[in-house]
Amino acid sequence: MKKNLSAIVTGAGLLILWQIGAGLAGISHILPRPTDVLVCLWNKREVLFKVHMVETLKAIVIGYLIAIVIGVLLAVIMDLSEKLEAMMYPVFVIIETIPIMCIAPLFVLWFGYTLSARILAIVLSTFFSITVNTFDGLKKINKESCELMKTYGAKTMQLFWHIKLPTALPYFMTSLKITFPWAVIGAAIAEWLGANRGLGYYSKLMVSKLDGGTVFAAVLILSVIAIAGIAVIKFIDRKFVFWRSDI
Amino acid sequence: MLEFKNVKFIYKSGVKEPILENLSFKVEDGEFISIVGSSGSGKTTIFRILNGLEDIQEGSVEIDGQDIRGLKNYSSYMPQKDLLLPWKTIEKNVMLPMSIQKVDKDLQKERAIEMLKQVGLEEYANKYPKDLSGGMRQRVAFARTLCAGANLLLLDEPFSALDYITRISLQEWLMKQWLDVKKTIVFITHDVEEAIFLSEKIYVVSGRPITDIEIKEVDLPYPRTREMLLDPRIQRLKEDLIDKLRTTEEEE
Repeated sequence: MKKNLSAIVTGAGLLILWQIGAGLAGISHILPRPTDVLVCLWNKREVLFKVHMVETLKAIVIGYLIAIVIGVLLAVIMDLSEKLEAMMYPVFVIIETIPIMCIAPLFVLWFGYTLSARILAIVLSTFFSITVNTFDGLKKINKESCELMKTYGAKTMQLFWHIKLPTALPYFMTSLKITFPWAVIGAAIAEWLGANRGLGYYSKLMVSKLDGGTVFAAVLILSVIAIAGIAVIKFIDRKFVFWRSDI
Repeated sequence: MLEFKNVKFIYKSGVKEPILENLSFKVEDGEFISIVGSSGSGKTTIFRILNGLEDIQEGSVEIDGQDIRGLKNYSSYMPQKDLLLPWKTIEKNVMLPMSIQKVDKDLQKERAIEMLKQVGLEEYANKYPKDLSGGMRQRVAFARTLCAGANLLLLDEPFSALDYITRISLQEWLMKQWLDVKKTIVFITHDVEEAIFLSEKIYVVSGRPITDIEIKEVDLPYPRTREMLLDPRIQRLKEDLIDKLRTTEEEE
């Protein structure tokens, strides 16, 4: 509580400084005060929440779910065979080094101003880390537990369900905590580079209209989405993956 | 009856020296025997072969005249660590061997509760391993071992990681369990006193490769008490075994 309190005091202090500093600067179109941001958020609530946030959330949910499915599947495939691991792992390392921001305009050329282009950016910016973390988790199994299971006559699939999957789950959850903000950032960047809807697109539009308050309002919503997503993941982790420290 | 017949075993990786060479011994049904030997003497190798985790190069291991390579669920193994799965409740941990063997779910539950009662932990059925002490966890591991359904129980130093008081109370508890369930127990230990207190016979393994086993009978009636260990004959047996193990360790 004390730790949270100090963070709240620091945050509030910074907001007050920002409020005073921006007020003194008097350039609210490019440096709005926090209160200006809240006013913009309220005035543009219809378009911000009902049009652009919905579009961004759609891309995040679809893209992130696809990334999770691909990430977990690839981790399981690599775990099944050392040959496949040797073939695939270096490829993932290369994919990871690709700066998504730089190639996202290409997705726009391939798919146009569509949802698919944004989904591709989200998938590429998140699935690698999900794959690698889940794969590491699958490799962390206790060999003695596996041998004990074998003495009971366990088959490969039974070992997977009873030992491997629960062992890998904390690692998978960690990967979600790391990558969810990337999914939000990926969505915003992709919208910024090529879209006709979404919070990223709208903030870019507002920059061109010198409406700094609305730019910050869109960024604020993006931050809240990321924080809320991480909070949900942390809640699920605490509630259902309680054996992290026992592995 | 469990029987090793002229068994030869070499690990496939590492040093290509035989661990067992032409080794033969028997364990009768319902017996409680302990295998003692210095660290690295090959005790656990014998268990790994018995569990089917290692393949022998020569000879055979038989249960009631049948080679174990053609048998299923003939033994239940209890390792040194309890290896309870932290994501499963105590009841689900005990049910695990039956779940693997695809026993009917209602029967699994019924047997698990029965076994938890047997080890005095039925009220912990819905708790998780983290909620139990080391000694309780070992008792759950024993209940799980019983649930594997085999008549031959292989216990690999199950109390070695526990503190002294917990260890001796679990030894007394195990002896009572054995008298109740009447299964064959092969117990690995490096603790000579533990072996004497629990077993009818002590199999001393020594040498590399192990070519034969020296069998010492423990002439004490069951149920046993700690005071019985003060008997001069038992003290002599204890000294004899310690000398034997010490000599073996020095030779190695």
